[in-house]
Amino acid sequence: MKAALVRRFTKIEVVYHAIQLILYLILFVSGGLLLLQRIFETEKIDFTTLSNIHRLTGIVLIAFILQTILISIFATSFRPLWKTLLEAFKWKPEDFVWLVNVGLHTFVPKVTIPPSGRFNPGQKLHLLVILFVLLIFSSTGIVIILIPGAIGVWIAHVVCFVPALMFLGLHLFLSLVNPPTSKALKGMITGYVPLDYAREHHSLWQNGENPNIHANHVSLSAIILTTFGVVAVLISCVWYIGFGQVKSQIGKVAGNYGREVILPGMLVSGHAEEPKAKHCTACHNFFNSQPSDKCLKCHEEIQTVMDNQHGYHGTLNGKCRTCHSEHKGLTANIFSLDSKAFNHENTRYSLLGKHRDLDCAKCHSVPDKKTKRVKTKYIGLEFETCIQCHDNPHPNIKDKNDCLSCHTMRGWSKDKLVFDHNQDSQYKLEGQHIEVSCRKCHPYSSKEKGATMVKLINIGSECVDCHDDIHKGQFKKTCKSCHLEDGWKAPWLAEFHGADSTYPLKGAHGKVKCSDCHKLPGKDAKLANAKFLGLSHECSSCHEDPHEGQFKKNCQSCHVEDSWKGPWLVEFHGADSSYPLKGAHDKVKCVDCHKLSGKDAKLANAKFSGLSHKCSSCHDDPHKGQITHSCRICHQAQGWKDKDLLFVHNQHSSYKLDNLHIIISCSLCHLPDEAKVVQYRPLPQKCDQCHTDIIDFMNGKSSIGNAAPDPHAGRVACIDCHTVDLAKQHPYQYARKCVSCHNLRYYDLYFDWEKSMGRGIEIALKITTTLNNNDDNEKENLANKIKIIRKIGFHNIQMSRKLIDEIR
Amino acid sequence: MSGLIFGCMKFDRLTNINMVFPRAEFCKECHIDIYNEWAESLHAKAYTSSTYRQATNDYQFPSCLACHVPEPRISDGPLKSREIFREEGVTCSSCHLEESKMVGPIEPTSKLAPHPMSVQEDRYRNSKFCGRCHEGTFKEWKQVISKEKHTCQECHMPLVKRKLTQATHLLSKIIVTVSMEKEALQKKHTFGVHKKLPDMEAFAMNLKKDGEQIELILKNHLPHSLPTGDFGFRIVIVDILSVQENDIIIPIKSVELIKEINTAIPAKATASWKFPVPDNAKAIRCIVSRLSKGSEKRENLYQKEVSIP
Repeated sequence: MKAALVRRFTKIEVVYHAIQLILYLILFVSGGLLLLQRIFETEKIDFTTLSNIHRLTGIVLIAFILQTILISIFATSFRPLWKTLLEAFKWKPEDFVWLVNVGLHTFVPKVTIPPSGRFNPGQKLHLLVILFVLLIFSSTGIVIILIPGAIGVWIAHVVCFVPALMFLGLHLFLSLVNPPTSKALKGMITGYVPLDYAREHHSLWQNGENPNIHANHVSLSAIILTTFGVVAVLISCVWYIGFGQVKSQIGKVAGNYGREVILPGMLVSGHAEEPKAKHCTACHNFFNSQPSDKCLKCHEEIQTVMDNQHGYHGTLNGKCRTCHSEHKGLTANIFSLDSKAFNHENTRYSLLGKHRDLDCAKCHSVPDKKTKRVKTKYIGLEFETCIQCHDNPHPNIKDKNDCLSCHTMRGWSKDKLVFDHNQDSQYKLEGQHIEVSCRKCHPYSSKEKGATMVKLINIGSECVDCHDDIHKGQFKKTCKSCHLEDGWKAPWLAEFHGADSTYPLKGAHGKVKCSDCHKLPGKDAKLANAKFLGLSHECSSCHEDPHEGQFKKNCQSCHVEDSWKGPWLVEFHGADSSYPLKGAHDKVKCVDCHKLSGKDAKLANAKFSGLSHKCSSCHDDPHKGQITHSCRICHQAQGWKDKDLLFVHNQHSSYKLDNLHIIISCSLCHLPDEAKVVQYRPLPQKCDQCHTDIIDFMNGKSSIGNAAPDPHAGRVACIDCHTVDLAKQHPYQYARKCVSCHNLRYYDLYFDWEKSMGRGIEIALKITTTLNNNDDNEKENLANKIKIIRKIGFHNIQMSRKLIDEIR
Repeated sequence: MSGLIFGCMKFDRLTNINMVFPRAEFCKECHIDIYNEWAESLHAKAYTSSTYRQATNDYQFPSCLACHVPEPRISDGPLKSREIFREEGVTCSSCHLEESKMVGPIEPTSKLAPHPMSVQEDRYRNSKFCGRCHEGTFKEWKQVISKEKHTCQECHMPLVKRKLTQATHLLSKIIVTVSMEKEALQKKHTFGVHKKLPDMEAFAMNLKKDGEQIELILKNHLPHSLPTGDFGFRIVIVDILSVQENDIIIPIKSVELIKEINTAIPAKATASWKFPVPDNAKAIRCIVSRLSKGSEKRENLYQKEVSIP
C-alpha cells in the first residue's frame, strides 16, 4: 500500500532549490580546490581555468538570484519563495529551546524537543546562514572582479568559506545520511513528503491536534559513522601528501597569517627580497584597488619625475599597474618595455644620429656607484654632457663639455664633423691643405699601435714646421714668395718669372717646361734640385740658328717669344717690305715660294733672300700666249677665279653677255682646243655663228634627214622669238611671241602644235621601247633621232613633223 | 498640178539637218555651173589641201575646223564644225542652208522650186558674211574709209547673167523644164583673185626721179592689205626690173611683202623703194606676184612698165 504523502514544497521551490544546488556546489567545489591548491602550493588543476569556472558560475548564480527576485515581483507563482524566506525570520522562544534540545536529545533521549512548523528552527537557521553567506560571497565576489587588489574583500570571501563549509556539511549529512531526516529528501525532488514524516517532525504544520508527537531527529550511529568516514578521508589525504609536508605547509600559512591562501602569485625578485614589501598592505589597501602612491612611496625617483612632469613617466597619467602587473613570479619581467617600439622622444633625451642605432644596454647598463655591479638603469641617468658616456681622446683640449662644437651625433669621423678649420681654429686651411688628411698635421700623440690621442693644438703655423726645404738653401726668400698653398708645382707657383723679375717669361717661354732651361742635374733628379740662379739671358744660350746665317739681323727682328712660326712671326712681308704679300699670296704656304731644299727639309732652311718678284717666276701661263697684256688687268692677288677676277665680260670683252648667256657655264663657249688650252680669243659673236645646227634645221637640213626650209628661215631673227633677257623662256612667252607677229589665234595654235608634237614624240618613244628587234644600236639610233627632233622642234615645224612620221 | 507632183516627191533629205546635210554632189544635179566654179575654188579645198593638213599636223587642231568645215547654221551665233563629209571643206550647205530652207540673195527665178527657199539679200551682199571666217581681212576692210570701197563679193564673186540651174539627169531635166527658169544676174562662186575688175585698177605704179636716185611708188587700191589673210605664210613679191635700151631686162630689186613682218602694203596705202638709176635703162618694170601655196611657183598679180622720166 502506498504511503500517504503531503505536499511540502511547491514546484517553484523545488526548481529553485535544484538550480541553486547545482550552482552552489560548483562554486563550493571550485573555491575549495583553489584554496587547497594555494595552501599546498600545487597546481594539479590549472589555476586560471579553475578561477574562471568559479567566477563565471558565481556571476551566473548572482544573475539567477537577481532574476528570480525580479520575476517574483510580477509573477504570483514565485511568491511562495518569499513566503518560505519570511518563515525563516519568524522566531519564537521555543525555537531557541529547540536548537538546544535537539542536540541534547541525541545523547539524552529524555530531553524533549519542542514541536515545530513546516520548517524547524534548524532549517530556519540554515536558511538564514545560507542567505547571509550568499550575500557575503556575492558582494565580495563582485568587488573582487571589479576592483582587483582590494585584499579586504578577498579575506572576507575566504573567511566566509568556513561557515559555508560547516553548514553545507550539516545540511548534506541530515538530508543524505541521517536516516530520520533523509526521508524528507523526497520532498526536495517531488515536492511531497510522507505524511508520517510530516506528522512526526513538523507536528505544528500537519498534526496540530497532537503537537508533541515527534520522532528521533538525529541518529547517533549516523553521527559516529560519518565522523569516522570524514576522519578516515582526512588521514588518507595527509598520508598521501605526506605528514611533514602538511605540517610545514600549514605552519608556513599560519606563520604568514594565511597570506598564501589569497596570494595570486609570487612577487618579482626585487619586491620579494625587499623587507619593506613583506606585508600585503605594503602595496594593497583592504577595500580599494592597488594604489599607485604605495608604489611611489618606495620608487621615489618616479615620484620625482612625475611631480616635475619630465621624462617618460612624467608624461603618463595612469596607474602603475596599468603597465607593471605583479604576482607573475620571481623572474617575471614587469617592466613591459618593448625596446624596439619604445619611442625615446618621450624621454628627456632625444636620440639623434648614431645614437639611434645603439643597443639600449650601451647607455642604460651602468655600474652602481656603491656595489659596482652593472645594472640596467633607465631613470636618473645623466646625459647633459657627452663625457658622461664617452671618453675624451683629445689630451690638450680642456673644455670637456664642448664636444658638440666640433662633433655631431651623426658620427665621429671627418665628414660628420661640424668643425670648420677656418673658423674654429687659428690656422686657416687653404689650397691643398684643405684636401690633406688631418693625420698629416695632427699625428697621434703616441706612435704605439692603437693610440687614439690626437694632438690638435700648439703644433706651429710656419711651413717649415711641417715641410722640409727641397731647394737646400738656394733661395733666401720665404717659401710663400714662390709657393702657394694650392700646390707645390706649376700652375700654383707664384709668378717669380714675372714682369719685375730679372728674366720675365713671355709668350712661348711661359709654356715651356721649366726643366728645358733649368737643366736637371741627373736623369731622375727633381726640378727643385736644378740650377736656378746665374743663367744667361741671350737667345743663343738656349737656341740654335736654323737659317744658317742668311739673316744678319738679330732674332727678335723677326721672331717673338710667343712662337717661332706662323702668325707669331713679325710681319716681314708687310706693306713696307720689299715684297708685300697681298690677297691669296697672304694665304699661300711659305714653302710654295720659298722652296724646300729637300723632302724633309724645314722651312727655316729654305732660300729667303734674292727671289724674283714677277708673276711668271712662280706661276705658269694657262692661256698659252692668247692674251698678251699683263696678268694684272684680269687677275689680282686675291685669287684667280670667279669673284676674284677683275675681268668683266661686258666691259673687257667686245661680246656683251645677255641674260640667257650670262647664266650658262663659261666652258660652253670657251672650249678647249686640241692642246686642251681653253679658247678666249678670237671667238664668233653672232647667234648663227655658234648655233649653226639650228640654222641648218631652219634651212631644212639635219643629220637625220632633210626637208623644206621653214618659212621663218632668213626672214625672222633668233631674237624675234627668243628673248635674250630671259634666263628661261616659258611656253606662254613663246606663244606671245607668235602673237606679236601673227593674229591672236596663234596663241592657242602654238600650244596645239606643242601638244600634238609632244604626243607624236611620245608615240615615237613608245615605238622605240616596244621594238621587238633586239638590236640595241637601232634603239639607240631611234632615241638619238628623237633627241634631235626635239631640238628641231618649232625651228622647222614641218621638218619635225616629217621626221616623226618617218619613225612612225 | 505641181503641188500634186511635188507633194509625192518630197526632197526632205535636202533640208533635214538633223540627219544629213545635202552634199555638194547632190546640189550639182541642178546647179552645175556653180558647182564647177566652187569645185575649182579654194573653198572646196579648205580641208583636203595638203597645206591645211600640214598646218594642222594631220587634222589635230579642232579649233580650225569651225571655218574649214563649217556646219550650215547661218545665224549670228559662233560657227561650229561639221562632223560629216569634211572633205567638202566650205561646201554649199555651209552658206546656203538654214532651218530646213535653202537661203540665197536672189528671188526665185523659176515657177517651181524643188526645195523650200528663203531670200536674205542683205546678208549675202555684205562683207560681214565673209568676215565671219576671214576675220583679219574683214577687219582691214572695215577700217578703210573710202568712196570706192567694194565689198568682198563685188571683187571675189564676179557678176554673171545665166540660169541658176542646168539639168543633167532625167529627173532634174524634167524639173528644170517644168520650172521654166529665166536667166538672172548672179555671182560666180570662184572666190579667187580677179585681175580685171569692172571699174578699178588694183594697184598703181609711179616713178619719181630725184637726182641719181629713182623712187618707185606702188599704190595699193585694194580695201585690204597686200598681202592679206590670217593663217599660213602669204608672201607677195615685188620684183623691180630695169628695161635696158636693147630690151634686155636686168633685175634691180626683189622685195618680199609679208604682213606678219610689217612689210605688207596696207589698204589704200603706198609703198616706195629707192634705188640708183640703172645705166642704159629706158624704163622700170614692176611685177607684183604671189607665191603659190606649197610651191615655188609664182602667180602674177600685176605688171607695169614706166619710162624713166
